[in-house]
Amino acid sequence: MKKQHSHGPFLKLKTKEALAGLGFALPSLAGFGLFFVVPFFLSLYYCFTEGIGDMRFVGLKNFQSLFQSSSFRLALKNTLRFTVLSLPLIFIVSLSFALILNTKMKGLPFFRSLFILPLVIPVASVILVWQIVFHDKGFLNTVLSFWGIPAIDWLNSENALAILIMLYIWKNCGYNMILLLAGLNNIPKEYYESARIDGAGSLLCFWKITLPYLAPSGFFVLVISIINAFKVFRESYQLAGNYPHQSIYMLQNFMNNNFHNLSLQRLSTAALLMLIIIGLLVSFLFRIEARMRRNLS
Amino acid sequence: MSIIIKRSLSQGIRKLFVYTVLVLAAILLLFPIITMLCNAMMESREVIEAYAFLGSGVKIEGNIGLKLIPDKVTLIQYYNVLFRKPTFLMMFWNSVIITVPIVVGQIVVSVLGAYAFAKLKFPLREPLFFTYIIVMLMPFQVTLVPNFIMLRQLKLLGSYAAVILPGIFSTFGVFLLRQFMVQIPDEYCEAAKMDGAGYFFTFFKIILPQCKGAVASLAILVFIDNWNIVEQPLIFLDNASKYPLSVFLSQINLSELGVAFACGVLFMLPALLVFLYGENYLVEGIQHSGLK
Amino acid sequence: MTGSKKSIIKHTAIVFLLTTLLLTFFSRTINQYLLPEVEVRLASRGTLQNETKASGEVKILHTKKIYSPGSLDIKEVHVKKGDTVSSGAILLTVDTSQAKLEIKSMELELLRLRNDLKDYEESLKPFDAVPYENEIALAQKTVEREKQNLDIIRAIYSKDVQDHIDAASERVKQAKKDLIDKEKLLEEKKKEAENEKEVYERTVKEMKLAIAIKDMEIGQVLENHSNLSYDDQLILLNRLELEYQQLKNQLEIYKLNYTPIDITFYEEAITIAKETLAQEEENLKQVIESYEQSSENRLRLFNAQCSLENAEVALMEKQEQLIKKQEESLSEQERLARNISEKKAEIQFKSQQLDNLKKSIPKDGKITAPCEGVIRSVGVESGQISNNQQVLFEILESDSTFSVQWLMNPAQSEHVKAGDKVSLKIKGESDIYIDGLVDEKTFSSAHGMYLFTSDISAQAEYPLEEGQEVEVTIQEASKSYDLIVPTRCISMQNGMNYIFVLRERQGALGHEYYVEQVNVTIIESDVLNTAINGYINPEDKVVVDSSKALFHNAQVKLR
Repeated sequence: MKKQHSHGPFLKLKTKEALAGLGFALPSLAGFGLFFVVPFFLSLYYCFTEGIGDMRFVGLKNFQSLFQSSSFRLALKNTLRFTVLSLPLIFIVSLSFALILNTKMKGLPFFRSLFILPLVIPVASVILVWQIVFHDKGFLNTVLSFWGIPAIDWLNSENALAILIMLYIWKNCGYNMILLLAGLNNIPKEYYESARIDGAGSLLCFWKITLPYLAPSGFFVLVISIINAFKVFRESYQLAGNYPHQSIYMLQNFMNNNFHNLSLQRLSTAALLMLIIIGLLVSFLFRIEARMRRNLS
Repeated sequence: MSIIIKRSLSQGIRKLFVYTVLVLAAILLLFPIITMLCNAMMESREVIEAYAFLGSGVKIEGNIGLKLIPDKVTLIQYYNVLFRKPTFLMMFWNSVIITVPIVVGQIVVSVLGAYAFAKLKFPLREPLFFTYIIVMLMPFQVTLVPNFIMLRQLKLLGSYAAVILPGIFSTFGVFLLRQFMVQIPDEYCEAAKMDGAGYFFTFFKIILPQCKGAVASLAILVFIDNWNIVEQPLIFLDNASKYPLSVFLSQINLSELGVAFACGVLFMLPALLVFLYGENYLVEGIQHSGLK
Repeated sequence: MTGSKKSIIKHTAIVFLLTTLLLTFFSRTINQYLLPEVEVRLASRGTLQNETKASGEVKILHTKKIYSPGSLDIKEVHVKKGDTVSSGAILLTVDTSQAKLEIKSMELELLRLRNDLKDYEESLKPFDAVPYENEIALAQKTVEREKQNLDIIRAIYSKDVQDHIDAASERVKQAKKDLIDKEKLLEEKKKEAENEKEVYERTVKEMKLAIAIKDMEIGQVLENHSNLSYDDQLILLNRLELEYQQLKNQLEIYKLNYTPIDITFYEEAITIAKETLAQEEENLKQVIESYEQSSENRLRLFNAQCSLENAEVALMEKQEQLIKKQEESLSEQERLARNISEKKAEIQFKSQQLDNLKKSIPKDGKITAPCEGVIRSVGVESGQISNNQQVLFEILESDSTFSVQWLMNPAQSEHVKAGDKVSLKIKGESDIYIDGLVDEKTFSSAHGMYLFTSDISAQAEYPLEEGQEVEVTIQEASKSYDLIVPTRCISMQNGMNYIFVLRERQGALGHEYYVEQVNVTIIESDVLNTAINGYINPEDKVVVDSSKALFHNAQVKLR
């Protein structure tokens, strides 16, 4: 088929298709180019300059100063720590609930709806509730004090990270769960049946069938989780403000604060670094996924 | 016999366990919503009393830091929000003004773009799509700088367009719809082409009808995402009277605690309605986003 | 997801949007309608004006009044009103002959009183309780003795009786014990006799059995003789016969030898013991009775008791007598003492009167001017008899001044200080208005108020009289304050004073007014205005009146 297209009278057809394709994609491409690609290169330029009025080329100085800044290093460290801690956790939680909801029991669709609910609830609406719960003198501490546990200032201590991870899971668990449910549904039932005939237990089935075949969905869940992990800043910002406890001072906080200072160079540099880090992370995940896929086949 | 009983028994226990876990999770998930609803039905005085520690840091004795059952059920807070706070209403419409164009615009742009990426071959298609994905994965703060630079160049800063335009061209829509359209068998398009139908005809008559669900789910996802928008308005808009409700809510004063709950509920309402209406589309959309 | 659910959601959404749209559309109207209307005033810089009113009177300082030292028979007045006198000038002369006579008679009376007092003091003797006390001691001794006597009698009597009764009851006890012993013995013996009888009967039975057996053996031998020779049989038979006889004899002997134990002896012994017990009990009863009836003992005891009682009565009588006597003497003494003090007081009074009388008569019968000045008034004429303390002359000293004095309570006078301006309205036929200054502020403990004095000698040209009524108005200007607001705009909550300040802002509906609650502290206030401290600028508009209750940040509209 393809070869036929590339010959003679079909060449015209192919050009036509390419033109049509570009035409259809034009609005999207134009906007994308205008608001993301072009400015990105502009901001790339900022990364290597200095000054506001007349900008001088300074090479890697911005990077150097960025890495020397302790707040950036703290933010970077915290972001990595948050990602490393929260990703496996949310994966395990979502997978558990997906497995539970994948069984055929009564009332499960209702619970599925409940799990998606946090996804649609506006952060701004419920942030007050979280403030009430995690306040130094709030609900959680009061409840804990019934068991004689001394009050913890949740948002102004190392525990803030745990709170943030909890909020992150609370909000995004449903999304991941649905993705995993779709993945689970896509595994042919025959695999399980034949495995069971061969005498495999349910644990073995899980290890040998569910997990490997879930890998593509799982991979995507991880990617989505990373995106959402960066979005959790919204909660963090509304809960703890511009300068939260140092255990949850993330790259996003760093960038937000620098934006208020309007230090575009620094910002661009940080953005570029973030882009590189995420790019590396994603490509790393891609590679793992490819390897798993190869193993599977 | 005994094995069957044993199995059914163990199944019963397992069921009980599963339901317990689910109910506990449900309570945890619903907790903020219930708290919001309950507190919105109290008088200001009651709410301020119950959460005095938020402002003063001093807790009233015998107060557990959470109050769910109102002393007297009242709708006074809603009355205050809707009648006494024109700011709230104005900002509500600001939210609508920002969100609706983004949703509509992104759907239009994304549907067209997704069709191109899914069904039409054009040069640099794959690298471009890969770039889309990478940009999609970027946190907002990374794209913030380019956006800001460009908006400044276009002198759009301070207007609604500054928030709406980058929102419309978010790459997520293209990605989601393309994932969906890729699954529509090529044969449909081929057949239409054989019948001499143009690309537009194919798009409108064959692809679009099949994508209704996906478009709906995209609409829901984009709506929810942008209904919550906080940072962009704060950065791109200069006038507080243009801020959407989400910003207003996140900055609401602690002295207006009573009103804050009612505002929260009213703000949550559209998102909740949209969710209830299109839950199935939403689930479908999420599931499709996961398929490669 | 059913269709009906979807339609419900759809309808809810539409209703919600329409409501918000409608409310938004009319929000300006609704808002304007619902907003509280306020009236504002500028907070200003300035002073508070306080006027205090008081009433006082005109005083003339440095006048000297000369009072009559007593009742004087005035011979001649040497000066008249308006005369200028020098210090020491003779003002009037007094006729002293009458007064001297009076002094003489008074001295005589005093002497008589003194003598009276002496008499009383002599008759005042302390009461002598010794003879009574001696008598009481004697009576007490008698009582003591009688008591001892009674104790002794009682001791003897009770000991005697007790001994007898004790002995008798001891014997009763002994008899009882004896009886019980005897009964026990009888019981034992009875048992023994029974045992023996049993043994005897058993033995007899056994023996009888042995005899029967022997009898049977003999019978057997007689029947079964075949296998034995006759001789043998005979021998055997004889032996058996012998044994049989022996056994029988033994039984007989045993029977003869057996005599059952005789218990009658013991039974008799018990009867005797019982009798003894009864006797002893009777005896005890008799002993007790005999002592109870013993008239001699009782008489002795009774007599002793009677004499003790008599002694006690005698003692009591003596004591009562003593107390009565004491009381009598005490009242007598009291009366005397009263008389004495009366006399003393009288003497003191009389002597003082005498002194006064002596003093009231001016030296040489003349009254002189104490200082230089002008005679302002003359109270007596020649030939008159002046009353005691009557003003005879009033001399206006050469350096005299006019002043106004008034009293004010401490609360009022808190802010009034020396140097404050006062306007004085002196009431008379035609009112005189004078502006002056507060010259002196002193606390008058007699009135519990502050006494203010304003010197008006500068205005001496006015015809002022002592004691003229004056209306005093004190102009009390506070120091200048930065913030003065109308008093009625200040509210109070939780002990904090606050005011609402009008502010402007750019709201959702454009330019709008709102009020800010500002806590203030009150420095001072007059009738209308109050000086405050707080974070307010002097140009801020302060809410004076509102159509609705206000709260912090409430949006308002201007009236």
